[in-house]
Amino acid sequence: MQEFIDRLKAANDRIGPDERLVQSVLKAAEAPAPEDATAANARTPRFRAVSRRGFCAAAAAAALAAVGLGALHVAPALASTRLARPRIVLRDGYVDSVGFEDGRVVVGIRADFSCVDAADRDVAVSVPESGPLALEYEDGTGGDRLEFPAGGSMRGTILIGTDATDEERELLLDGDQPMQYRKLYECLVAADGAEIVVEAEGLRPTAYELRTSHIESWRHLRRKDTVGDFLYIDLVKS
Amino acid sequence: MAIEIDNAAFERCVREYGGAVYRVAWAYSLSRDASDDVFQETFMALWRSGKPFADEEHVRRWLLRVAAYKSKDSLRSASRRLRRDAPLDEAIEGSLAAPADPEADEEVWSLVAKLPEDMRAAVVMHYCEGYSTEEIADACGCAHATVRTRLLRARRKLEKMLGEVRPCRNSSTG
Repeated sequence: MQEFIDRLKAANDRIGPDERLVQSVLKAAEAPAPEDATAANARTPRFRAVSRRGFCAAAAAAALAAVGLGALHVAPALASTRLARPRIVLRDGYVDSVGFEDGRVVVGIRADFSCVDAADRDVAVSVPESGPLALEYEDGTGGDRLEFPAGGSMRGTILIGTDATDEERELLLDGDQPMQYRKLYECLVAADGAEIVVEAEGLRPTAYELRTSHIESWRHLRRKDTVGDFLYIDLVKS
Repeated sequence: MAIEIDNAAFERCVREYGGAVYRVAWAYSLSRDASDDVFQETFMALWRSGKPFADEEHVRRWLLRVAAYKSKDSLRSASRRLRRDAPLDEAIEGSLAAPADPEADEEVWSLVAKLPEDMRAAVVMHYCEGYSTEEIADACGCAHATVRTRLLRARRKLEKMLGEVRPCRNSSTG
């Protein structure tokens, strides 16, 4: 057994990030300073009910507003960051609206798109009249063309606590008010599988499916908060 | 002394703790793609946290905790599961810094891959990275006793698997 542990340790010692990945993360620190990022995120609490039909709509809007989250927004502005795989980055995106419309939860996201591939090349987003959203290099060399990233997933983020004002954070972190988390959890669970319409400037609205089933319980939300972590909600292109 | 995450501190953290963060992600996923993502997301969380840390130990523990949570989150994602099912040699490719014996490494990881994720992470973090069971419990958000149980069960499973592997080797060489 000890021999195996030694071999495992030797193999583990050879695991590590490559320098390009390290450099890409370091590049992110050259972009907005944390204070600026916070200021940028302060623009994100823009939840408003598009329409309030049905219990879920009222509950979702009320709970989100009540806990003062208002911070469902898309991937952070890291356009200069090399991503592990080609992926769309929504620069300066924020949720413009959330509500319930015709039996669907509708989240409007306003964002500027950008995309880089694994070789740091900028990739333009092109929107065909029909067919899947496709990407191609801006210089058009070689006619390279990337399909929308596998599964077409984009990622929304609910920032718990970190983006809230002091007053909101107090409300959120108050251990005597676990119902806040429960309400939020119920809303998120109710929204699982909902269709999300992403509206970006200059792009036609695109439908995504909201996946929240990975959120195990309201305690899960609370645990996220205790580590200052983000809770990720998957938006999968439907 | 409190540590503010400014540019210099951020770079130092990436350099100093990057390897540990990456290996935690690797222990969970055994996937280069997933580990890259967790590495990136963990340090983005640090950069965006905008909060002061009490000391170096606070930073280190925070990073490990976030890396563990993000690793578990990524495993829950269906798309990641598909990638995780990719052949192990393909997943390992590029993640190793010139292994002296790639086949030996692959053999080791193939055995470890048969352990459940939480057990695997506990084994790697304890036996390879040298974390105490308290540190692992803190990072994984579970009880201290749970980590010890995972380690015990992991050892038993590994011993059983090794016992099954060795006779085959002997028979093939003999």
